[in-house]
Amino acid sequence: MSDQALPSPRPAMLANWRQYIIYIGFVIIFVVFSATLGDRGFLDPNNLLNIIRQTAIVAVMAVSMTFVLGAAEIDLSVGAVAGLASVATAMGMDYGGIPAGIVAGLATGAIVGCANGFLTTGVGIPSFLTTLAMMGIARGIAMWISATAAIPIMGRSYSAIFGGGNLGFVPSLLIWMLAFGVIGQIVLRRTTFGRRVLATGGNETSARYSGVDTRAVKFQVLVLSSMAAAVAGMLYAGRLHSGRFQFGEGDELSVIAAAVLGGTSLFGGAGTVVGSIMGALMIGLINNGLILMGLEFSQQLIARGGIILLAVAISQTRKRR
Amino acid sequence: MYKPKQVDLTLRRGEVVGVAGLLGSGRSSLARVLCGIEPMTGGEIRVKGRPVSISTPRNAIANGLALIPEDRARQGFVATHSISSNIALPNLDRLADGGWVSTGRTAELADEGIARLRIKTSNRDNPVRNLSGGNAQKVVIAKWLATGPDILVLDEPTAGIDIGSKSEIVTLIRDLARQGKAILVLSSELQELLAACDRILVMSDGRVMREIARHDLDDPNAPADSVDALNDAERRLQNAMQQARGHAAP
Repeated sequence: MSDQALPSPRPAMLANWRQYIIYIGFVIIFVVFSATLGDRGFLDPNNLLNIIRQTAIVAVMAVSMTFVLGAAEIDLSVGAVAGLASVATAMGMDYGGIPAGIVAGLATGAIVGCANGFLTTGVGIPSFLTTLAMMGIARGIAMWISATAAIPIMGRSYSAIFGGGNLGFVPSLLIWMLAFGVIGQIVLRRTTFGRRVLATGGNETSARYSGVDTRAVKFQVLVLSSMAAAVAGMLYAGRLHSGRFQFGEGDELSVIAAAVLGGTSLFGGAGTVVGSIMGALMIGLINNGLILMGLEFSQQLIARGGIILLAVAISQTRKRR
Repeated sequence: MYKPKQVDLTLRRGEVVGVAGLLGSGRSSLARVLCGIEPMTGGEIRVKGRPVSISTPRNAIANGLALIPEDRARQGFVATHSISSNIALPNLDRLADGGWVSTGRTAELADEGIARLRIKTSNRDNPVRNLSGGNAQKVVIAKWLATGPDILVLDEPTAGIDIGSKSEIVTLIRDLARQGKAILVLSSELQELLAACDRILVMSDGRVMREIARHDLDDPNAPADSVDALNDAERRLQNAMQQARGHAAP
């Protein structure tokens, strides 16, 4: 065993280029689409803002998923919680206006998050299974209490704040996404909580030996995730003027794909919030481009899957060595 | 059977106490109980004369205890994280104001540790997995020294590291004792215990069977510090351990 530290043989920027794959990939795809789809309106400001509108809700959930994956846990229930929260918010507003709607939505997230956290850290069921079961339960409750019908949201002011309106020409969804991104990035990098999350995911035993209450950390990230999913559901409700149990269906996979594309490790210990948001935007970009190309839905699914596989393969090979 | 059952030990400032015992003697478990990793089933721990309850590692840190664990890759550090983050981890509360980690003080603490233990690395942002065994162990020691402990528990501190780092660590243990820390060294390497310790406890089947002062293992007639003298001492310690095991067995 040599006593020499092994300095990286290549310059740091080059050695870590895979870390930046998401940014490189984003630029490449953007340039390719601009060149090939420019005449079909890809570069139209309205189209670009639409991409952001369609992506922002997934991006909000990808921010909290970065924490969950960073702690080496997973949350499959985010999409279903978003649906349930949209229904709860709409029903709450029927009952007592906007404040009641907001309380109902956030309470949904808090309750599901605490249940996920307790089952995972207290009972000891792996979060994969806890949240898989919770996905069904949340979707089922949403269908049941809404009798599978959409619950309309009449007032305009709710939609203006939550996802529907614009601030000047800036969609409010963009502001939500940026707010979540900035706060998430700072919390993950600069606070004791963020450091403890990544240490727990990087090596749970070692984190515990170093004084980190790893069970509390896991509980907290699962609550955080459900709360963010609830906000996402409230944004769906605002954007589409109703609460529906179908909102958020399948989002868990987009959210996880976005985080992994952005460099978050599925095995914990590494991840950046900015990367996750870029991952979400990249998926939105691909979806938009494939539609503008005039592909059928079936072809879109195949192409999207292929592009995501390629990007993940490139960004993850480094970790296997 | 690996649990400590009856352990009565006193650590004084400035003293290095060794714990010798075969595999399954309850040695490592004793270290984990002392530092809040495993629950204590009975008895009492006092620090500076005051009884304390140590139920979590955080609690142990607050009471001035630090554990350098036996399996450093699993228990000692986060391999993919930088030297700097690893040194910061047990010190986060001290490095932060209201949950906000100071990057300046984090870097300072890392550089102090790198300099103090002479960790060979180009910079503090290197991941620990790029370091050799000896340097990785120095990171573990650095992160715990940074907590400012009064009592250090080192479990197999030189396992699997090169000769140079080994002797550096033994020297460091003696230096720390001279600075007034109380140190417990648990080891299966008898030469290391003989080099570092003032007293050696022999454990078997979860009990402390014997306590031997280091100088009682030396032959008063032999010239001190010779290789033969050290080998003689090792043989006597080995005999003591064999006897202890004989007594412990039913």
